[in-house]
Amino acid sequence: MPDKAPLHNSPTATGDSKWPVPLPQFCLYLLGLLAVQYWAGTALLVVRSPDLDTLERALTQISVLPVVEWFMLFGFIRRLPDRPLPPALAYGSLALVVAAFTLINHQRFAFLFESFVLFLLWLRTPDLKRVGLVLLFIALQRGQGMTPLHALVSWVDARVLDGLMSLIGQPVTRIGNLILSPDSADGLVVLAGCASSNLMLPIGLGLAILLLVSRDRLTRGALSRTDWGWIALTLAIAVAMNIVRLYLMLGGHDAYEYWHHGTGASVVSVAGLVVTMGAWMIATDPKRAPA
Amino acid sequence: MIPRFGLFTAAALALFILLGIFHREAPPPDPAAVLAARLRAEGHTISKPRRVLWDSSGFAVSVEDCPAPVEAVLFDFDEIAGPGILPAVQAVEGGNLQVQYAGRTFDRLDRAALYRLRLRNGAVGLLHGRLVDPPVILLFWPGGCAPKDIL
Repeated sequence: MPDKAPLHNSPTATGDSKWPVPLPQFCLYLLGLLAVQYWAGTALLVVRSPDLDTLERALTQISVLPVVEWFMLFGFIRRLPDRPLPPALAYGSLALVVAAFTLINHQRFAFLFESFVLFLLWLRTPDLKRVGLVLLFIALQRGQGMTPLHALVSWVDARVLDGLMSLIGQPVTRIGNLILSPDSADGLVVLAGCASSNLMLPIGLGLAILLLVSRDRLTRGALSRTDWGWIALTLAIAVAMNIVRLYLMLGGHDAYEYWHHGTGASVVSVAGLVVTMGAWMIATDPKRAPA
Repeated sequence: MIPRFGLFTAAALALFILLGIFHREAPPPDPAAVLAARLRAEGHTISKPRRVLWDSSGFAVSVEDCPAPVEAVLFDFDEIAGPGILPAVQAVEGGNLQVQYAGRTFDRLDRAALYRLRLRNGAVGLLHGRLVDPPVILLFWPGGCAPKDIL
C-alpha cells in the first residue's frame, strides 16, 4: 500500500467526530508520554545518584544513539501532515499505553509490548505506519528479552573466532563457547552478553531508525534497497568489530579486563556509534540520494 | 488552551507518576544466596565454589556420603538453554550433572522439558499476576557419589 493513500483523512473516515485529534498533536502527546516511560529509569539513575562516582557511572550507561533517535523522532512528527485522526484510534492508542503500563509490572517489557501493539494498530494508517515502525525499532533496540538470540549468536561467534584463529596460525581449542588458548590460562567463554548481536542490534536498528526519520515525509516506502544495503554493511562491521574484540580478549587477563569492562569496551561502543552515524550521513547525503 | 487529547495524556502521565514510574524498586535478592541460606538451614555446609564461573553465581554444598562438596552454579534460563554454554560449563566443572528448575529435577539439560515447564509456569504466573523467571541450577556431583534430590 502506498504511503500516500488517504485512509483516515476525510470527515467521514473520522466519523464527523466532536473529538478530532490532529495527527502531529496526537504524535507529540503520545510519544511524549512514551518518552517519559522510556527514560524514567535512566532519569531516576541520574537524579538519585548519591555521589559523583555513581553519577559518572550512570551517565556512561546512557547511550548517545537513543537520545539522537528520540530527538529526531520528535523532529519527524512535526513534519507530519495536519490531518485529523479517528478518535477511536487516538484514544484507543492512549488507553492501550495506560493499560499496559498499569498491568505489566516491568517497564521495559511494557514498553516493548506497547510498541508492538501500536505498530500493529497503526499499520493500516499510512501517516502513522512509519512512526509505529520507528517506535518498535526503538523498543527492540533495547534488547529486552533478546537473550535467546544472543545465546545463539554467541555460539556462532565462538565458531567464527575458532576459525579466525586457525586462519591466522594461532589455533585454539574450542569446547562449546569456551576458547582455550596458550595466552589465556582460564580460557575465554563467549556468553550471551559478549555476542555480536549486542552490537548488531543497536547499530543496525539505530541506522534503520535514523534513515526512517530523516527521509522526507511519507512519500517513499519505509526503506529502500540502498538503505538495506547500508544496514547490512553496518551489521557486518559490527560482527567484525566484536570478533576482533573477542580476539583481543584472548590476550591474557589484563587484555580481557581492558576489552571486557575497561576502556576497550568504551572504545568499541564509540566505534559502533561512529559507524552508525557515518553510514547514516553518507546514506542521506543529498548528492547520493536517488531522484 | 490545552487540547482535549493533551488533557487526557496529562491525566495518563499523572497516573504513571502515581503508580510509581519514578519509584526505584529494591533489587531482587541473589537467588544463589537465598538457596545457600536454605540449604544451610537444613544442615548442609556451604562453602565457596571451587572456581567462579564467569558471570554466574554459585557455591559448593557438602552432602552426606559425598567425598567432595557438590558444586552448584546458577544460570539465566535463556543463557544456559543456548547451544554453547553447557559444554563449556561441563568441561570446567566435571562430575555428574543434575539440573534443577522451578522445583523439578532432571538428570540432564532436557531443553524441551525445561521450555514446557517455563511456559506452564509463565501461564500460571500471568493468571496470578506474578511473573517470575527462576534461574536454572546446575549441580555437579563428584565421582563416587550418586546424585540425589537435595533442593
